[in-house]
Amino acid sequence: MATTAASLSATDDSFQNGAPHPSNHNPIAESDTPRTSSPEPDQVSDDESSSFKTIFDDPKNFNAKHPLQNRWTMWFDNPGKRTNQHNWSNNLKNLITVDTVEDFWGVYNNVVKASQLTHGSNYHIFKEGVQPMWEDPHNANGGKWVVQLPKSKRSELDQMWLFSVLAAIGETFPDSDEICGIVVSIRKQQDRLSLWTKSALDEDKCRASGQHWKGVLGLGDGEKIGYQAHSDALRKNSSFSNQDMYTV
Amino acid sequence: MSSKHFLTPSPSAPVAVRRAGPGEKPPHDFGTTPGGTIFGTTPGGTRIIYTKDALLNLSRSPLAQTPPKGLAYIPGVTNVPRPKEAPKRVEKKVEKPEPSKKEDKDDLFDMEI
Repeated sequence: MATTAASLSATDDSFQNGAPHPSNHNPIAESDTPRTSSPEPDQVSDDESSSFKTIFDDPKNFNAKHPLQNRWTMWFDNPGKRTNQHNWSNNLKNLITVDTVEDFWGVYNNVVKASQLTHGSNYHIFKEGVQPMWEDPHNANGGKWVVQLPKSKRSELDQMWLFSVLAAIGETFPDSDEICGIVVSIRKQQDRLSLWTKSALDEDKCRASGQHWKGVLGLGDGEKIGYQAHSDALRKNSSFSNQDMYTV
Repeated sequence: MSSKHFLTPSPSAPVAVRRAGPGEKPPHDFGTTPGGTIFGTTPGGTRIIYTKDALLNLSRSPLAQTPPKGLAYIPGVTNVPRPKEAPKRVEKKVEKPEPSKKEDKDDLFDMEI
C-alpha cells in the first residue's frame, strides 16, 4: 500500500471553476499493472510517486488520485452460527485499506454487492485503526444508529449502503470525527445498516449524526431509527436486541 | 437597473484567486479561498470533503475500475484473481517434492529395466 494522500486527477467538472490547484498532498501513482502482487510494496510506491501524472500532464495515462480525509479499512465477515463473543473476530477478514476516492471505487466495483452476500455476512468500513468491534477503544464509549430493512426493501439496500459509505468517506456528517464506521448486515429476516459513532453519551452529537444519516438514506420523518450504546450490547452479548438510547 | 446592480457582482470585485504551482505549498489559509476550493472544506479547516455527486462522478474514472493493489482474495466476495505470484513460497514447496518424485520414478524405472 502507498502511504500518502494523493493529488487530483480532476475528472470532474468542479475542477474547471478557477479554483486553485491543490498540491498540498503528495501524489500516489498507480503502476501500469495494479493487479500484480508485489512482494515489496513500499519500494514500488516510492518508484511510483516519482512518476505520477495528473490529467493535465497526460490526459490518457494520468494516475493521480483524489485523496480522502481519512484512511478507511474495509472488512468482511460471515461468522456462522458457532460464533460467540470470544471467537467472532477470527472470522473477520481485512479486505483492504484505501485513502483515495479512486481506490475506494476500485474496491467497491470489485466486491460483491451487499445484497448478493449470503445470510450472516457483514461488510464493515471503518476508519483505519478502529476495529469493527465493541471492544475497540474508539468504540468503547460509542454506539450505533441502526436501520432495519425488511426484505421488501431489499432493492434499496445496496444504494443505502453505498450512500452511507459515501457520506462517511466524503466526510459530510455534521461532526465527522464522531463517525467510526458503517456496517451492513445481511440476515434472513431483515437486513441492517449500522452507523457507529464515538460518543454515546453526547446526545447532541448522536442526534446530529442520526438526523444527517436519515437524510442520506432518504428516510422520512415518520421512519424512526434508534441509537444503542455498545456498552449495552457488550453487557448482553447481543447486537440488536437492546433498548434505544435515542431515536430520530 | 438598481436591483441588478446589487445582484450582479461588479466585474472588478477584488476576488483573490491564488494558485499554488505543482510541488509548491499552498497558502496556509487555503481552505478559505473565496469562491471555494476543489475540495469542499469546513470553515477554518482543511478537511477534505466530497459530496455524494462528486464521489459518484469519480466512480467512472478509469482509475476506479481495477481493484487496488492488496485487495484481499476472498472467494465469492472479492473480484480478485486467485493469488498466483504472491504465494511464491508455496510454489517453491511444490517444486521441491516434484524432483524427488521424478527421482523415485527414475529409480523405479531403472529397476524395472
